[in-house]
Amino acid sequence: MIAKDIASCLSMIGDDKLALRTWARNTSLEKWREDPIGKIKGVGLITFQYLRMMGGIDTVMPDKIVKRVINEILEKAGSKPISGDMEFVKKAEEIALTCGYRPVELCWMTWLVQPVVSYFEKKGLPVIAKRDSRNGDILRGKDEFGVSLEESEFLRPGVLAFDWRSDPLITTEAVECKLAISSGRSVVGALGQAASYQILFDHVYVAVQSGEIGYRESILSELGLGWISVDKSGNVDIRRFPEHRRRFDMDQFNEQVLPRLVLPPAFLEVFGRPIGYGETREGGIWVAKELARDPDTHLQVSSWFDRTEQTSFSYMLH
Amino acid sequence: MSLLKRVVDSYMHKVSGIAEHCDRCLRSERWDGKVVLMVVDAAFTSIGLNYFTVVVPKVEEFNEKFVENGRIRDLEDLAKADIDELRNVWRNQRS
Repeated sequence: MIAKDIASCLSMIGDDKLALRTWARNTSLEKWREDPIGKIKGVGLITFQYLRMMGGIDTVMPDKIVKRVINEILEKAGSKPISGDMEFVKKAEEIALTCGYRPVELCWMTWLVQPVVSYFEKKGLPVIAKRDSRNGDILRGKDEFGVSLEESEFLRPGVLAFDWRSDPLITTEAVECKLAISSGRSVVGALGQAASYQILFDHVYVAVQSGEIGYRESILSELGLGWISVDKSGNVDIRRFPEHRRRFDMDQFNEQVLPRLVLPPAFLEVFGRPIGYGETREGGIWVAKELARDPDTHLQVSSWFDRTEQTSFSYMLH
Repeated sequence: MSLLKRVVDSYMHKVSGIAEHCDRCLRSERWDGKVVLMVVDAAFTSIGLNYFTVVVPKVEEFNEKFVENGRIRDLEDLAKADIDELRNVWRNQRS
């Protein structure tokens, strides 16, 4: 009934696309309850805003997952979360524009990113990923794990989880996240980089929005890639587990990954969680543990690895 | 750079390809530009169903059963459509 009622309202304006865009342009967030579509029984602010977005208005819709992620961002930035839908939409638009993004981009982003990091951390694995440097129970950092298979090519898996518990060697799980117009196209967009990661990491996944991917599943199967599906509520579903060490090159792993990756688990083993980490200017990695910090004393130990240097270790005492 | 921007950047960095997706959304080109399907999509979304696992397949089913064969060509057709026939696809009276 809602669809028929909305169609009835819009069809009075004119040609379909023109009608949707004209309606979207002429209505407003503030007057949504007075709008003919806003008045339809069952149409809430989420539906209203979603239709406006599809009608060309750069805004956000206040649904559950969008609110959760944007409020998480606000809290990490030291601001209070917002519960009211109207106030939330205005604040989210303001955040996007202030930070140089379109509100609609902020809205679509929320559906994919955070759930993947949370999935691996809940399994107890340290995760290297782009995020707020203060966050993370095990590792705290804001940089991704950079690797370079060719001189001109620098790759950074969206999420890299690793485990040093069961084997003398570190086990690695790399994830390439993509969000295109459909889950199938997202998979296609992620294939190139994901296949490159297989040279260096034990298990490689592509993470895309949930939905069927059709024939692309057989491509993932042939390539030995895993498939992580993330739904709109932020639930992560491993639809396909990756093959172990498909295309893996131990020499490349020893050169590119091991020297960088050995530092975080070594520091975790010796000093305990959490450990700070980041990327050095030369594309290496640093780790640091703050052992004491008060007004009189600041004691920190750190270590770093760069391609141009040996691994170094230092401590700082103020 | 403000802390807020750093935090937002850290999230946005994860989602490559999103700008192109948003361009299409803002040009009203979702669902290959079929406004009937956009309205059906929004109607399903209004009842809180899981978007990617329930709404998207249902909209695709609607497209196959009603739009691609020309039975519902535009919003006017949707507005006049037989509600019982539509329910065969929807199975949810509210949407």
